[in-house]
Amino acid sequence: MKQIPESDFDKLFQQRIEEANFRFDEAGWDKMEGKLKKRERFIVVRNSCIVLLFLLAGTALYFNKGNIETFYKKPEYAGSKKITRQEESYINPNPLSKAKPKEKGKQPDVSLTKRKEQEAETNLFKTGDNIQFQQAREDVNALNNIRNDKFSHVASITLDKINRENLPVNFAVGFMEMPANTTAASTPDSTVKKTGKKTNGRAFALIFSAGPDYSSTKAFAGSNPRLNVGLLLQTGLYKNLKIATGLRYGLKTYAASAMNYELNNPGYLNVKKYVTAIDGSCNVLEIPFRLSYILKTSTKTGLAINAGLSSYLMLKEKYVFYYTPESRIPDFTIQALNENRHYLGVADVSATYNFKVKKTNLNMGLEPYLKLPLSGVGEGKVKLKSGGINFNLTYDLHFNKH
Amino acid sequence: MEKFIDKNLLEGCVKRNRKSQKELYRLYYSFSMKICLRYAPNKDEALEIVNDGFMKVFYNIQRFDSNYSFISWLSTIMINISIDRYRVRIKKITMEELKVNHDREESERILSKINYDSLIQLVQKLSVAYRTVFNLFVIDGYSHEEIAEMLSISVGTSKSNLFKARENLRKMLTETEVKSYLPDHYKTI
Repeated sequence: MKQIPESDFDKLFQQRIEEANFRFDEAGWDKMEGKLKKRERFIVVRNSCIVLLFLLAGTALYFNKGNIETFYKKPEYAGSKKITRQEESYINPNPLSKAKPKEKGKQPDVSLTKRKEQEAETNLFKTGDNIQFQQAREDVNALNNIRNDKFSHVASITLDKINRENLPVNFAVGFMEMPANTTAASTPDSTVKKTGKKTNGRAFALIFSAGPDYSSTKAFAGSNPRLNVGLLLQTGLYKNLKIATGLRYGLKTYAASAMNYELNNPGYLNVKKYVTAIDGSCNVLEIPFRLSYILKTSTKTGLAINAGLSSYLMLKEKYVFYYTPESRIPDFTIQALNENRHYLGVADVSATYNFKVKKTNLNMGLEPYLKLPLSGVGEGKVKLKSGGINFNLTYDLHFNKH
Repeated sequence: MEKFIDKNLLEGCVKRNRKSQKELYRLYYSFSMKICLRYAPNKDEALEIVNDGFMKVFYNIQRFDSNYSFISWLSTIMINISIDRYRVRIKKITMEELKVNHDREESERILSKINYDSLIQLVQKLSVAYRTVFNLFVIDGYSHEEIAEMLSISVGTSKSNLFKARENLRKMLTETEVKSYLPDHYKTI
C-alpha cells in the first residue's frame, strides 16, 4: 500500500483550492448593503442618544449654574483683587471647616482662633497709606462675611472687638455699608444653605418599580402586558440632575412575522417564506443607566424626565414558528438559555411623576416609558420595542450630616 | 485581482461612498469567498462570513495603509472572522465517524482529478476543529505555534487535528460519494 506523502498531499490541495473563481453575486451585495444600512441606522440612533444625553446634562448644568458655582467656587468678597495665601486663611468663610466633621458639637480650638484674631487686628490697624487701607477694608469685608458664618462664632467676636472709632472715616462708612444681616444670596451663609441642598441632591434613593410592560416588533407597544419589576439605586449629580442604575426583570411576549427575524440557521432562509407567524417569549434581565432631569419639584410632588441606555441579558428565549398549511411543516420551537446579551442596545425614555408620602422618606410615583431598540434583540435579532407604565416606590436614603 | 488597492477606491471607501464600497466588494468577492468557503460548512454561511468580513473592512479601512498588500489584510480579516464564528465549536474535538475503508494509494490520483466543488465539499465535511486547523496550516500557511495561539489550543492539539484532518480527507477522497463526481473510468477503481 502506497501512501501519498503529506507535503504532496498538501500541495495538491493548495493547487486545487486556488483554482476556484467565484462570480460576483448581486444577491450577496444586497445582503451586504442591508447590513451596512442597518449599521448606519444604529450609528445615527446611538449618536442621537449620546447627543440627547449631553444636551440633557448641559441643560441641567445651565439651569443649575448658579448653584454649582456657589458650590465649587472659592468665595470672593467685594473689593478684593487678588487673595494671597495669608489672607485666604481667614477670608475662608469657614475657617474651622477642615476640622468640623470630626469636631461636630465641640468648641473650636481657642488658641488657633485667638491667633487669627490677632493677625486680623494687626492687618486692620496697619493703616497709614492707601494700600494698607484697602487691605484693611478687604479684611473687614472678610470678617463681616465670617460674622455671618454660623460655624465660626469666634470670628464674630473678633469683629465686635474692633474699635470702630479708630477707623478712618471712609473705612467706617464702608463698614456701615456692609450690615451684618447681609442678604443670603451674597453671603457665605447662603453657600452653606445651598451646600445643604446639594447634599440632599446627592443623597441616594432606592427605587422599586413594578408595572405592565407591552412589547412589540411593529408598533411602539404591544397588546400583551407582562409584569416588569426592578430595583434601582439613584443618586444626584447636581441639584436637578440624577443618575440611576440597577436591575429590572421581566417577561417579554410578542408576535412577529418572518421578516422580523434574522436567524443564523441557513435552513431558515429556505423555509422563511412559509412562516405565517412567530410567537416570541423572552425572560430578560435589564441593566438600565438613566439620567433624570427634575423639571419641577415641591414639598409634595415632583416631575422629572428620564433618558438612558439599557443592556438586555436574555436569560431564556422561546420562539414558536407557525407555517402555512400548504407547506405541511409542523410548528417549530426554538429555545435558547443565556445565549444573547445586548450591551447598551436599547434606548429608554420616560417621565416620572412623584408624590411624597407624609412623614416618611417614601415617594410614590408613576413612570410611563418607551424603550426603543438600537440593535436587534435575541436569537432572531428582532427590533423589539417596549412601552408601559411603572409604579415606583422611592425610598430616600439620607446620609447627610444635617 | 490587484494585490494593492486603487487609492481612489480606498478614499471612496474611507468616505463611506456606497459605489466605492460596492466596487471593492465586487473586486474581492471571489477572493474572500474562497477563503470563507473553506472554513464554513456551506455556501450560505460562507456568504455571511464574507459580509461580516467586509463590514469590518468598511468600518476599519481608514486604518489600512495602502502601501501594504490589501489582499493580505483582507485575508487576515476573513480568517479571523471565520475563526471567531466557530471558536466555541473548534474547541470541541468531535469528528463524524467515517465508515469508509478504501485503499489510500488512490487518494493522490483522485485528488489530481477532482473538481473544486467536490474538493471543498470534502473539506466542509470535516469537523470544525479539524477543518480550521487544516485550512490554517495547509492553505493559509500558518505554523502550529501560530494556530495554537489563534485558536487557544495547545500545539499538540493543533498537530493532532491536522493529522486527523488529513487522514479523514484521504478516506473521504476514496469514498463512493466522491467517486460519483469523477469521470467514469475512476468510478471503477
